[in-house]
Amino acid sequence: MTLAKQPSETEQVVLSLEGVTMKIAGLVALDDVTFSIPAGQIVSLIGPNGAGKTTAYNVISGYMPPTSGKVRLFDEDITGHTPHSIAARGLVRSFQRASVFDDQSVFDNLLTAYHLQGRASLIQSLLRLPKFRREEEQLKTKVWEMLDFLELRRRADERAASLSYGEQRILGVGIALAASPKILLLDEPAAGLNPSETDEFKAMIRRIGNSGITVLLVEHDMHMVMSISDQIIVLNQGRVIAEGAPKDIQNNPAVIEAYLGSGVKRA
Amino acid sequence: MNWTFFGIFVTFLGIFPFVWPDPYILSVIGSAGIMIIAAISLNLLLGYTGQLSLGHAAFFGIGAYASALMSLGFDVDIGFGITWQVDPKPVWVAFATAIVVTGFFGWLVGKLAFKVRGAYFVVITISFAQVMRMISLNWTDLTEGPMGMISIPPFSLWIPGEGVVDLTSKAAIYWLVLAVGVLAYLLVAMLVNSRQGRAMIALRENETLATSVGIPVTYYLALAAVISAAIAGAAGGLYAHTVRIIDPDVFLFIYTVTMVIMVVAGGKGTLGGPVVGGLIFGLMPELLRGVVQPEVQWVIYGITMILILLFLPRGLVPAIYDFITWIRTPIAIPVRESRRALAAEAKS
Repeated sequence: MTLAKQPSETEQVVLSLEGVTMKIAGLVALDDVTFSIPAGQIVSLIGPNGAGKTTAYNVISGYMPPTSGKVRLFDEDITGHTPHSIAARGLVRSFQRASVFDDQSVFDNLLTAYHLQGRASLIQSLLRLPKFRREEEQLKTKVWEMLDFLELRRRADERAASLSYGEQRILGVGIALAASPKILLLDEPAAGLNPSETDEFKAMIRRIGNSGITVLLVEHDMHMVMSISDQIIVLNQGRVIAEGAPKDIQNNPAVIEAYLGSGVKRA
Repeated sequence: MNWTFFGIFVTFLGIFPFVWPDPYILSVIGSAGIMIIAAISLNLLLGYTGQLSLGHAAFFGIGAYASALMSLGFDVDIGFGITWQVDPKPVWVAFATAIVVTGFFGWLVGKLAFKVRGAYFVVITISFAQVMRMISLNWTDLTEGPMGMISIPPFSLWIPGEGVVDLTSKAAIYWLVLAVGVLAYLLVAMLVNSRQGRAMIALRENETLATSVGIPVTYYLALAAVISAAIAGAAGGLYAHTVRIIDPDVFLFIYTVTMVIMVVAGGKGTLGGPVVGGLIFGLMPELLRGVVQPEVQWVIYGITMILILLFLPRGLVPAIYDFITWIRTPIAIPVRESRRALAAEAKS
C-alpha cells in the first residue's frame, strides 16, 4: 500500500511494457512498444489519432491480451490477466465514455466502487453479522471522504446521469480512485470539458499525484499535458517515437513531424 | 425499503386466514404465492443482474421433481448395469435436497450460459428448460413420464399440543407458502443491499466499468444464478408437496412467461415488484372467473399488461415511488421563486 508513497522509492518502476505488439485483424496497432513508468510521477501518453493509445490502455488494463510482449506491474507479469484481477493488484483505469453507473446515486456509485475494500463474506452479508455492519459503516465514511476530495458532497443523492458532463468525468475518476489504485490510468479525462472544468480537473489530477498515486494520462489537450506531466511518451502508428520531459518533447522533430507532417519547420 | 410497511403487510397476510377463512380464497392466494416466490427468484437474475433467463420454469420444475422423487424414493437403472436407489426421505429433507440440487443446476447453467450474453443467453436458458421437459417426459423409469408423479406426501410439522400434523389444510398451506415467501424476500433484500448485491447491480449497469474496479463478473453472475435457482427450486418443492401431483407441464414455457410478466409489470430490480406484479397477475384470473367468460378473462389479462407496460414502462412499484416523490416535491420550490412565478402569472 505505502510503496509509492515513500520518497526513497521514486526510482522504482511501477509499470513497464516490454516489446508489446498487438495485431488486430492484420492491423498492427502496437508495434514492439517498450516503456516504463516510475513511481509517483504523472506521465502522459500522447500521439495523433490512431496512434494506438487506447489499444495500449486496453492491453495494460487487461481488456485485450497482447499478441506478444509482456506487461509488468511491480515486477509481476500481468500479461493476460483479467481486468478485475489487475484492478485488485493496484492498476485501475477510467473510461472515455460510460465512466459512471448512470442509474445509481452518486453515493451508491462510489459505494459500489469500494468493492475491493470490502471483506465481508456472503454469509456475513446475508445474516447482517456485526462484521458486515462495521464494514458498511467504514465504507460509508470512506465514500463521504471521497465525495469531499472530489468536491461532489452536495451531489451525493443525485442520479449519476443527471450530473453535468464535467462532474460525471470527476465522478468517473472517483470511482477509479475508490478501487485504491497505486497507478491510475486516465483515458482522455478532459475531452469535452470547458476551460474552467479543465482547470478544475487539472487541479484534481495534481491532488491525486501529490497523494502518491502514479498517474498515466492519455490526453489531447496539449496545454493540460504540457503543464502537468513529469514525463511524456509519444506514440505514432503503434511505435514509441519519443520519450522525455515536456520541454524536450515540444522541440522533438519526430514529434512535430508526427503531428504536423514533414516539411514543416519548427515555427 | 420501508420495513414498517413490510411488517404491517406481512402481519396482515398472516392474520388473513382468521379474518376470512374461505378455503377457496386461501388456496388461490396460496398458488399465487408460489408463483410470487418464483417471480422473486427471477427478479434477482432479471432485475438485479440484468440477465433475462427465459428458462426459469426449469428450476421450478427441477425443484418440484427433485423434492417429489426424494420424498417418494426411486430406483432407477442409469446404465452400465448400475442401479441408483434412494429410499423415501422425510419431506423436509427432500425439500432441502431439492433446493441444493436446483442451486447446483443454477451454477451449471450459469457457468455454461454466462460465457455469452443477451440473445444467446436467452436461447440457452430456453433450450435448457426444453431439455428438462423432454427428460421428464421420456425418462419414465424415473419420472413416470407424461403420467406424472402422484401421491406425493405433504409437509408435516410438529406443533406443541397437537403432535405431528400434516400440512394439508388450505390455511396451513397458505401459512407455509407465506413463511417461505417471507424468507425468500428477506434473502433477496439482504443480498441486494450488501457488497455482493452492489456488485451484481454494477454488472447490470455497466459491466466494463464494474470489472475495472475489481468486480469479478463470472463469480457474481454464477452466485446470482445459484441463489436465484435455489429459490425457484424451493417454490417448485412447495408446489410438489402442496398440490401433491406433478407432471412434465411444470416445465412449460408459459410458466416462465408468467414469472417474467409478474416481474416486469411489478417493476424489475425493485424488491416489491415481483410481489405486487405477482398479486395482480396471480389473482386476476381467479377474481375475474365468476364475472366474465374465460375468453374475456385472457383479453383483460393481456390488456392490463399492455397498459402497464405502455404507461408505466418501469413497472408499478417504481411508478408508485415516483408518485409519492411527486406529491412531496412542491415544498421544495423556494418561496421567493414561487412568489415571483405567481406574480408573473398574475400579470399575464
